[in-house]
Amino acid sequence: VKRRLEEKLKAARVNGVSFSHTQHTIVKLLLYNLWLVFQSKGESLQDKEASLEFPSRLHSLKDRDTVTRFDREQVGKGLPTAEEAFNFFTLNFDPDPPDVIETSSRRRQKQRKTTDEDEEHEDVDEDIQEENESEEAPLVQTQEDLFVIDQSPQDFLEIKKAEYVGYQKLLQRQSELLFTPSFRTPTSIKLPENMKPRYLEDEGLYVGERPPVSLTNENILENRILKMEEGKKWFGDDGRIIALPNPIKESSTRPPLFHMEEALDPALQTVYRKAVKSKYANLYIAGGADPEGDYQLDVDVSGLIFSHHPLFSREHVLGARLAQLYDQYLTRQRNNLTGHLTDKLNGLRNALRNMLESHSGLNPTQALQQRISEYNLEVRNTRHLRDSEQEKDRTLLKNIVKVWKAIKALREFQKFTNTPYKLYLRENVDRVSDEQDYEDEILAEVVELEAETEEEYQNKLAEYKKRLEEWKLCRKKQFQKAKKKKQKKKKKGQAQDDTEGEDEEQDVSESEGPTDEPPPKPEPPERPDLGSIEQWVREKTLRIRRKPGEAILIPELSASANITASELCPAETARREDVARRSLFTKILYNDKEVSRTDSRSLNTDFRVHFGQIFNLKIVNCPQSISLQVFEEIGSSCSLLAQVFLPVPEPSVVTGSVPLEEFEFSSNQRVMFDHEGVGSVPLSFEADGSNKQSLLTSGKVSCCVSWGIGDDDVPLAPPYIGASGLYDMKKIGEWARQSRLDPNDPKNASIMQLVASSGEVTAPEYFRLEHLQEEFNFVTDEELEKSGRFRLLKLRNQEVAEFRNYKFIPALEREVTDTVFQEYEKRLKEGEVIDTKEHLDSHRALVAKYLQKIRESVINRFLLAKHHYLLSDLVIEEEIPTIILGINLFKLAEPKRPLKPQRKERKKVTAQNLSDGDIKLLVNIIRAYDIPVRRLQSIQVRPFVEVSFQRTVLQTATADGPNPCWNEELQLPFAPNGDYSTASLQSVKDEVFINIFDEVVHETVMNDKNRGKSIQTHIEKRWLGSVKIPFSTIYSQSKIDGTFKVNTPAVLLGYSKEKSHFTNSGFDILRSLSEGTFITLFITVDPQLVPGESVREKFDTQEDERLLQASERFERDAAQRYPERPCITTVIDLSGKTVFITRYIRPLSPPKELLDEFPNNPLEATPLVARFVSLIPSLPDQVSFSATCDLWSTCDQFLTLLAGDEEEHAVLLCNYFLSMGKKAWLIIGTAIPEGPTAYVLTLEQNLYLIWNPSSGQFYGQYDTFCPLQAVGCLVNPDNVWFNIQQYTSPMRVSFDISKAHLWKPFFSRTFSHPGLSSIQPEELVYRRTDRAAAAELQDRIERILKEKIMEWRPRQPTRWNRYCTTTLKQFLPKLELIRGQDVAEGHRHELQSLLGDYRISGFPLNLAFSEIRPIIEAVYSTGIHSVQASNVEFALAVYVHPYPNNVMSVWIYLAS
Amino acid sequence: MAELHIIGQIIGASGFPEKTLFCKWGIHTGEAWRLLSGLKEGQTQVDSPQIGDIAYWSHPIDLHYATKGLQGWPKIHLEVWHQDSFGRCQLYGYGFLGEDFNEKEGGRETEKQSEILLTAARHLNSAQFTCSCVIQRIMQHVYRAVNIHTSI
Repeated sequence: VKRRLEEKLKAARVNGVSFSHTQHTIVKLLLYNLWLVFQSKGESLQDKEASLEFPSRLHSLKDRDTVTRFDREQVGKGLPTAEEAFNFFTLNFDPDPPDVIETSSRRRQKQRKTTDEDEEHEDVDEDIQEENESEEAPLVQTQEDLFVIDQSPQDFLEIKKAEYVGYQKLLQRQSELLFTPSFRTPTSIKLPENMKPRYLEDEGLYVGERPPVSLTNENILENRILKMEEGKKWFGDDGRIIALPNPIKESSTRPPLFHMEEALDPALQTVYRKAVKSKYANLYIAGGADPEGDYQLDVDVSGLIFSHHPLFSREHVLGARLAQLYDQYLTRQRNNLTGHLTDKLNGLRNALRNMLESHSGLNPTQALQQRISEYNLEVRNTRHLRDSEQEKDRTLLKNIVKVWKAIKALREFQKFTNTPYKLYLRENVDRVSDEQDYEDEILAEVVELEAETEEEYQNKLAEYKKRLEEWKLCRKKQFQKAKKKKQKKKKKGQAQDDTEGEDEEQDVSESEGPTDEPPPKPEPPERPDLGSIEQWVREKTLRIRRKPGEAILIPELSASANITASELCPAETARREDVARRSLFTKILYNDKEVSRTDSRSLNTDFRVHFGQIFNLKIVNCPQSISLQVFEEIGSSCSLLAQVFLPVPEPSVVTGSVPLEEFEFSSNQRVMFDHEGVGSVPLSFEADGSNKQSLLTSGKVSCCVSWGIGDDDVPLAPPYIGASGLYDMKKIGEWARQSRLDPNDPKNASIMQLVASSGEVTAPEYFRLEHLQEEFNFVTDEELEKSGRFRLLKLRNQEVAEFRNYKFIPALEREVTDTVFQEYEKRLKEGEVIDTKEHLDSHRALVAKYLQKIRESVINRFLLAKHHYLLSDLVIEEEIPTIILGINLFKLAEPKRPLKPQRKERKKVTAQNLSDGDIKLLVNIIRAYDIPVRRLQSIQVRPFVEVSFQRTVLQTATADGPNPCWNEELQLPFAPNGDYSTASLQSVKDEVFINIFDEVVHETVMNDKNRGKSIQTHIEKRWLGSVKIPFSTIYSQSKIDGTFKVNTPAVLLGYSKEKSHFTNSGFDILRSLSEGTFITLFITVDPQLVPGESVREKFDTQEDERLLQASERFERDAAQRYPERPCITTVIDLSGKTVFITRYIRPLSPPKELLDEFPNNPLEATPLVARFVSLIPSLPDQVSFSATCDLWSTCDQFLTLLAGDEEEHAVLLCNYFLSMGKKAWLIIGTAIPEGPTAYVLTLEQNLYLIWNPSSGQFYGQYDTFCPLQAVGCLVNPDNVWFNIQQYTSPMRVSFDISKAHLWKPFFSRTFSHPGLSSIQPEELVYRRTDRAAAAELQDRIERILKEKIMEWRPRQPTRWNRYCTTTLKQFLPKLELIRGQDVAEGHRHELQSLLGDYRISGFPLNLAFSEIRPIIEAVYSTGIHSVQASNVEFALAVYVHPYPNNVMSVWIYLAS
Repeated sequence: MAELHIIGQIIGASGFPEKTLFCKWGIHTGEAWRLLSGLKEGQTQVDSPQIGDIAYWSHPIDLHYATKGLQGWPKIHLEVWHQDSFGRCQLYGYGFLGEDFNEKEGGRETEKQSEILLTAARHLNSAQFTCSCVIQRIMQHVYRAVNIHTSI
C-alpha cells in the first residue's frame, strides 16, 4: 500500500493540482472540513473505505508532504488506535488545528473544484513552489500576497502548515509527558533500604484474604504512591500495599426480604416476646439463650462440718482444736519440709566440700572464690530455714500432746466423754545411728559457724586497719599545720603588736578548730570466742530437736472413743437436746439470686451435717458469683449463719472429674447459752478466767462446682471467654501476652479486643447521644475556635461593629491575618481603660466611653428591630409606568421647551446597587453676600469658594466684589469605606467644609537681573470664612438648599465689613442680624440615596395608656392634615423608653457665674446663656447611634455627656430661659441645614425671638435670614400646640397660641393635663471648671496644632514668630469677653501698632471643644498652611476659656 | 475543618385541606456543627393563593456551617400551619428531611428538589423544598481516608 501511495504521490506531483478559490470560501469551508476530519479520525472510518478514499484523493492531490505523510499513516494503519486518537486531540493541539484545517480544506476543494483547476493554475503553482522550497515556511506570506485583493477579516487568520512529528518522536515526547505504569515495581524499592521482604503468611501468621484488585491497578497505585513523599509508609513488610482483609462475606448473612407485600417466610416472621428486664442484660453469654447453647453448672453440696458451734461443750472445743492441730500435723508431715531442707543442706555441704578438695592445691580463681562464697551463703540460709522448720515441728507436736492431755483431764473431771477423739502416740527409734547423726550434725554446724565468725572477724579487722590509717594521716596533717602556725606567729609577732598577733592566732585556731578535729581512734575488733560457739549450737539443738535417743513420737488421732450416753450425764442433757432441735440447710445463690436450696438436715451430735445434694443450674448469664448461704433452723425460725463464696470453675472443670473441696466459713454472731454449750463468746479454759480465747461459729462446707456434661459427653461450659475470661481479665491478658496469640487472626479478635480493653473497663459516667463522636472528629474544638476565618464569619454575622460591614472574608485560613482582629481585641481589652491622649481631657474621655456603651446597647436593640421586615422591605415592586397611549402621544406632540426644563423625579438608589465611585456629592455654589472687603488695597476683593470633603478639595472660579455670583457646580467623590449600607452611611462623620477665600495677587519683581523683563506673580489665598455641613445632614435631608450665614472670624486682619445697610433696632440686643456674610448653596448627593427609615419598634414606656393613645391620635391627625409639618408629642429617652415631650421642659437655672456677670441687666445675660449652650458640642444622634432614631437626653445627661444634637440644646436653652422668667417655648420645626430640628422661641417685649440653640444666635420673627424654615409645633411644660395655620414660615406665622384656630392644643378641655411630672432633675449641679486643666489643655492644643501645621508643610520650613504669637495670645481673652461679637476696630490698630511693619493676614477661630480632631480639621480647612511665600512666618495662639461644667470655648488665633 | 453552605428555598405546599398556609422551619445538627452565619430557624409568610392549589412561600434559606466531625449532618424540619380567617393557627403537618438532601458524593454542589410527605392527621400532603449544598473544604486527611473528589 505504501509503495502504491508513493507512486501515486509522484503522479500527483507531476500533475500539479490547483484550486481556484478565494480565501473567503476557504474559510467558510474550514469548519465543515474540520468537522469532517474529526469525524474520519475519531469515528474511524472503515479500513477499506479509508484506503479507497484516500488514494482516490491522492490522485488529484498535490505534493504536500505533510498531507501525504499524514494520509499515508492513516492508510498504513487503517484505524487509528485509541492512543493516536488521544494524541491527535490533545498533544500539540495549539499548532495543529490550523494545519489540519488548511490541508483538509485544500483536499476538500480539490475534490470539488477539479473543474476550476486550470483557471487558477499558475497561482497555485507559485504557491506550491514556495512550499517546496521551504517546507517549514509559513503559508501566510504567500497567501497574503495572493489574496490581497479581496481581503476579509478572516484573511488575517494565521494559517500554518501542519507540523508533523514523527511517530517515534511522538512516542518519545509522550513518554516524557505521560506516566505509563504498566511495569511492575520491584519489591526492593518499596521497602526501606537493606530490608528483605517478610512474608507474614510464611511465618504462620494469619494474614487474611486481600480484596481482589487487578494487577494493573495495583501497579498504577504503587507507582503513584512511590512518587509521593513518604510514600513508603503505605507498603507493608512484604512489599505490598497495606490492605485490610476483604470485608466481603461469601454468603449474605442477612435473610433476603424480597416480597414486601406477600406473606413472609414463616421462619422470618417476627415473633413477639415480652421485654425482659435484667441486670445482667449485657452479660449474656453469646448463644446462651438458644436451646443448643445450653450451659449447665452443677453445684454439689455434700455437707458441712462445724469447727466451732455455739452448742459445743468444752470438750468439743478442745476436741476441735485437737483435730485441727492433728490436721496441721498431717499436712506438715505430708509436705515434710524439714526432711527436704535437711537433704538440701547435706547436698550443699557435699558440693562445697568437693569444690574445696578439687581446688585445694591451686590458687582459687576469682570465679571460684565467688562460687564458694555463694555456696557458703546458701548453706547458711538453708540451715536457718531448716532450724526454724524443725522448731515448728517440735512445737506442734508439743501442742498436740498438751491438748490431748487437757482433754483427758477434762474427761476425767466431768466424768463423761462427749467427743470420740482418741490420740495414740507411737514410738520409733534407732538409737545408735541417731546418736551418730546428731553428733555429726552438731560438728558440721560448729565448723561452719566458726568459719563464718572468722570471716566476719577478718572483715572487721580490715575495716579497722583502714580507719586507723586514716586517723594517722589526719593526725599528721594536724601536726604539720600546728607547726606552720607557730612559724607564722613568730613572724607576725615581730612585725606587729603582740595583742594583734594573739588575736589573729585565736582567729586562726578558731577557724581551723572544727575542721581539724582528729577522728576518734578506732577500736580494734574483739576476737570472737570460738569455744562459746559450740555451746551455743548445742543449746539450740537441744531446744529445737529431740534429744538423741529420745523416741520419735508419731501421733495418731482416731474417733474411736465412746461417747457417754445422755442418761449418764445429766449436766449434758440440756445441751444435747438443744443440738437435736437444730437443723441446717443451705441456699445456693447464683449472681446474687437464690436459685435453689438444700433440704433441711438436723445437726448431729458430732456437729456434722450431710446434704449430699447436687443442683444442676442451667444458666444464661455469665457467672459472676456463686455462693452458698448456711441457715440454721430452730423450730420454725431460721437464721443465717454464714455465707460462703465459691469460685466459678474453669470450663475444663467438669462434673465427675473434680473432688469435693472444703470451703471455710465463719460468722461473727455472739451466742450464749445457760447450759453446757459454750456459745460463741470469748471463753477461758483456765480456772482463773485468764487466757481467754474468742470462739466464733465457724466451719467448713464441703462442696464442689463444676460444669455439667451433656448427653454426648460434651461439657456444657460456655466458650472460653464466657468462663474464666470474665472473672479475671488480668489473667487473660497475661495469658494472651504469654501465649503470643496471633493478633491478626479473626478467631482471636474477640480475645484481643478483650485484652486491649481490659486495661480500663470503667463504665462511662455520662450519656452521649452521638457515640463515637469524639473518635471521629477530625479537628478539635480548640482548633475550631482558633480558626480566624470562622471567627470572622461569626463576628460578621453577629454584626459586631468592627465587622458589620466586612465584605469579603478570605476563603483560606492562611489569608486571614491577625491584624483584622487587633482593633476588636483591643477594644475588648481596653473596655474600661481611658485613653487621655486621644481626648486631651479625662472627663471627655469618660464621656466618650459612656457614650460608646449607650451606643452599643442602643445598636443591639435596633439590630433586633431591624430584622422585623415588612412586605415592602422584601418585595420591591417597581411601579408600572402608566401607559396611556393618549397622553404619550400628546407628549410627543408637545413642543420642546429647552428654556423651561421640567423637573424630573430622581430615582432613589438602594445601597446594594452602589459601588465605589458611584456616589458624588454635588455642591452648587450660587452666590454670596457681604463678603468682607479689603481694607487697604484699592483692588476689590476677589473671593472664591473652596469645598473640601474627605480631604478632597475643589474650588470655584474667582469672582469679583463683595457680592459675587459663581453659579458653579462642584462634584466631590464620596467614599464611605466601601460600604453603602444605610447604617454605615449614617455613621459617616465627615463634614463638608465650604470656605470662602480671597485671592490676593502680589506682583513681585524677581531680582536685579531680570528687572523689567519679567514679573513674578504670587497668588495668595486668604481665608474669609466658612460654612460646615455634616454629611449626615445631607444624607438625611437628601438635599440642602438655602442661604447660610458664613462663619466669619471675629477679626479679619486686613478686611472690614462693608456696611451696606443698617437696620434700626429699638432694642439693644436686636442689632442688625443681617450683619455678616451669607452664601447661597445647593447641596445634594447623586444618585439620591435612600435615607434610613426610622425603626418601627414599640418601646416600653411608663406613660399612661390613655395619654399614649391620645398622642398617637394627635400625631396621626397632624400628619394627615399637614404631612410636611413635624409634630412630636412623644420622644425616646436614653434608656429607650417612650416619654411624653412636655416632661422635658422644666425651668432650670443656668450656671450662677453666667448670671453674675450682669447682675443688673438680666437681658444682657441672655446671650451669654445662649452662648454657653451653644458651646456644648453638637453630635447628631444618627452619628452617635448609627441608626435613625432620635434619642432625647435630659439636661443633666446632656451636660454630663457634653454632646447632643439640636433637641438637647434647645431643651436646655428653653429651660434656662424659663428659669430666667422669660416666656419660652420649644419650636419643633425644620430649618436649614439641620432639617427637622428644635429651636427656642421667646417672647421679649411683644417681640418673638427665635433662638438657634446650636449656634447661640437669635433672630427676630421677621428676619429673612433666619434658618428656621417651618414651624411645626410649640412645646412648653404644660402643653403642645400644633400649627394649623396656612403657612409654616415663621415670618407668616402668628405665635399667639391662645387662638385655637391657629394652634391646636394637645391638652384641651376634653382631655385635660394629667399633671405630668418632669423627668428633668430638680436642679442642675454645675462643677467649676478647673482653670489649671484648661491651661494645660491650651498648651496641648497649641503643641499639637503646631506639629500638625509643620506636618502639612513637608517641603518648606515652618518658622514661628514668637513675638507675634505672644501678642496674639493677649487678644484672645478679650475676644472671649466680648464673645466675638464685636469686631473691635481698635484691635486691629492695636495689633498693627504692636507688630509694626509685618504684613499680616490672620484670624481667630472659635470652637466648642469636644475633641482634638475637629479642631485640626477646622485649622486644616482654612488652608493657612498652604502659604507658599518663601519668607512666611506663622503665629499661632490658643486660648481655652473654661465655662462651668467643663464646657470649654477654644480660641485659636492663626496668622501668617 | 469542613464547611457547609446550605442554600435553598422552601417553595410551597399543596394538598392541605385549606390553602391559607404558612410554614415554620428549623435546621438541626449534631454537636459537631457550628453555625457560622445565617438563621437556622424561621417562619414564612402566610400565603393564601387565589389561583391554584399551591401556597407559594419561596422562603430563602442560607446557612453556613463549620463542622469538626462528619456525624450529625443537618436535618431540616418543616411544619405547615394553617391560619384561618380569625387569625388562629393550626398545625396541619410536619416532616423531617434527613441527610439525604446533601447526598451525592463527589459533586461540589448537589441540588435537589424534594418533596416531603408531611404526616398530617388525615391527609398526606407535601411541601416542596429545594436545597443545594456546597461542601467547601474537608480537611486533607479526610480526602485521603474517604477519597472524596471535592475540589476547592
